[in-house]
Amino acid sequence: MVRFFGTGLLLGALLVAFVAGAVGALPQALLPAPVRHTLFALVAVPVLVRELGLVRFPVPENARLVPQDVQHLRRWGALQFGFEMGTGMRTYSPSALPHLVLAAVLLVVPLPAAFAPAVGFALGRLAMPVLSNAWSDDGSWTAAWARAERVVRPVLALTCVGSLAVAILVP
Amino acid sequence: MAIRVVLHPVPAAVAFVLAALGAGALGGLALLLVAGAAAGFANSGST
Repeated sequence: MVRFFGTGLLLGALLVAFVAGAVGALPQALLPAPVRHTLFALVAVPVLVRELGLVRFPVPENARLVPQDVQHLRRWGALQFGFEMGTGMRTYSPSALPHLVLAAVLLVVPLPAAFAPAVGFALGRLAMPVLSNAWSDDGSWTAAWARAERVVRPVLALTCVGSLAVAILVP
Repeated sequence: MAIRVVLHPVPAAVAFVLAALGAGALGGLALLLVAGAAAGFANSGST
């Protein structure tokens, strides 16, 4: 079942990367690099500050839960569920980092390279259920995540922003 | 219990940092992959 979920994640993320990369080709063709880098920084700094917990502001998200009937569709349900999660647009978004990666694809990452963060997004999104499956189904993972969240979220944000910045600025 | 120490959110986050440091030597595509992975993990919430 994890294979189907993972495949769905990958397909969903690749689709978003393709569409965003195609749309992003226009600003990337029309705007000079310094302007695009500045626009990206104007997104990255607030996102980083938000993820560090210094400010609070809402980010665009699909504020709805995944319907219960998905789990009754077995393999196709897992594939569909993964696909929708892979797009990052199916349900709540607890982090603004996907928005930042999307902004990077729109503004500074050319289309062929845009598939790299998409594959990474699918792998990262898959890691959480894989890790949580190693814990007993008694809510202990959720409790561990809640305790660790104040440390983990800033670390992930610095990792994401730092990686993007180096990838964009260093040829 | 030992497995929970390894498969815990904090070591996972540290693994992303180490992956980013390693990706720096590999180039831009590897860094973009790690950035996406960090975003995907952060976007998971607790499940």
